[in-house]
Amino acid sequence: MRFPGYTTRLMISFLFLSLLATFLTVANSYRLQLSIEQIHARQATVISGANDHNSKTPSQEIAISKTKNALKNNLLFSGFIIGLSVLMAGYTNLTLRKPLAGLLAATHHIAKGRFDHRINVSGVDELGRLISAFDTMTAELYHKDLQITGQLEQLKKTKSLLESNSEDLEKKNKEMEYFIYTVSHDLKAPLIAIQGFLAVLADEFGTAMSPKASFYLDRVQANSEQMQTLIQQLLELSRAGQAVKHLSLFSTRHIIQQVIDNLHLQIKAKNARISLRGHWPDIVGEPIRIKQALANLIDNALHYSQANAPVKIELSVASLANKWRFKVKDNGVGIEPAYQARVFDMFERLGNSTEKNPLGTGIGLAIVKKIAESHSGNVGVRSKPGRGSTFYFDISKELKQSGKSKAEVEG
Amino acid sequence: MSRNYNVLLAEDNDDHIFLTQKALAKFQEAHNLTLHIVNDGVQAINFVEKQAPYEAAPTPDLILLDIKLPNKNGFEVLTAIKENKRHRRIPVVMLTSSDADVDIERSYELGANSYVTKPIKTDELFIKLQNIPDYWLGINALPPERA
Repeated sequence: MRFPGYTTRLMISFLFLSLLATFLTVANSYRLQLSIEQIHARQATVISGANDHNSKTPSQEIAISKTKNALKNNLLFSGFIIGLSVLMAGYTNLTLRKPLAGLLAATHHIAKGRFDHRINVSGVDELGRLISAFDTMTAELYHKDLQITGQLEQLKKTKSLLESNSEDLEKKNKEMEYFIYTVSHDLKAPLIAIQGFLAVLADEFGTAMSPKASFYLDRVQANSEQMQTLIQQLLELSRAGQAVKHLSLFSTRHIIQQVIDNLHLQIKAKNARISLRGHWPDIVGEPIRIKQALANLIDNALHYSQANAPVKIELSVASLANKWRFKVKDNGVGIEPAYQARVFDMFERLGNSTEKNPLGTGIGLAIVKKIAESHSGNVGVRSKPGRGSTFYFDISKELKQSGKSKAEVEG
Repeated sequence: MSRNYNVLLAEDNDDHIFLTQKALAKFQEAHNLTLHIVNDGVQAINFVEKQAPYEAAPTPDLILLDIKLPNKNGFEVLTAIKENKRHRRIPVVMLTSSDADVDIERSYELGANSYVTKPIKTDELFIKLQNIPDYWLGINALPPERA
């Protein structure tokens, strides 16, 4: 059962009061009626003892008329009280209950987000002022709501614009990468034929060639190899830019050993000493790409070594707050501060390579950067010209495995 | 005395075919080897499955499969061969123009027995073939009986 509201209770109180007043009045009237009857009775007694049957004493007359007057006044007063109570109840209903009910309904509307609702009750009393303030507040809310809705609409538009832009960009990116991949493959086909025929030529006619012809053949071979490296790296760059597909848990110690094994010819050629420092953890990433990033950095270190000093390269993995940092430290020629920011850009090459005909393509470090970025990481270098450089790339620690087992990847 | 071995080469580039033949020449001298050449992926599958116009084709003892083939690429051909119970024991060597790890990894995932990077060098081919688990021509196996 619902408990009656405050105003309803107030109205009930008014009615109760009027009933009480009526009861009191009626009781009082009854008492007066009784006293009139007593006067009459006493009169009768007096009369029976007297001669004049119908005569009354003047004092008796006055008492009766006074009592009757009081009775009349009492009844009138009672009627007045009842009327007043009804009026009060009606007034309360009009001035208190209805505006409060309106206010309550309005709060329900606002709670449901309908700010266009108005109570529209005029009045100069506190309640009237409260309601008009409430309406003002609702109007203010309505305008704010309109503004917010408008802004939200704008935001939605901007968001969808951004989304379609990024979709566009992603599509263009994909197309570009596919283009590079295809072109690289197609560029390679004739080059492979060139190299194949050069090999056949050297194989079948090498001994019959003059030293000059052999020299020319040698240059053609060297340049076709340079071109092959370039195409290969373009191909790798286009792959490095693609999103990682197979994230797995793998041993960095295992892959660094593979990288060093693969580079043993270059390492031997430079008579370089490669040392592994610190702990090499198991991490989540794409091992193929991380291998490639490491290989590129070691290759770079070998390439920019000092001619007159034994080549030393230190490799390590640092565990930072939310990422692994792979570091390749060399004692090579170093990089001028002005160039440090640019070394990871495509086709940037350092002028001070120790080799007369540098094999560097200017893509290797750009590939490292792309690989780091595809693992939510970044790249960097610290270097002192003439003292050496420390290149690093970061791999996020928050990458999740994509369902391939460790054995499968390492196999 | 020695049986005839059928090698299928699926390759679309004439120069690459020529160079592959050069690389295979030494094997051809040593073993009685017949080289069959197809120029695209669909032809390669038809040859293996003896579909027209290859009804009379022998079952190859070895397939050298280029990755970049027209109509169906090498991966598709490889998948078709390795998914077929009758053919999946035929050794397949992928020929790749890129020594990119992803292409190599994909080849092994799909069941390739080995891969060779172009341009094909005789020595490299020989070493790779020797490393195929059931040594391709059964050269070491006696008697060399095979369906």
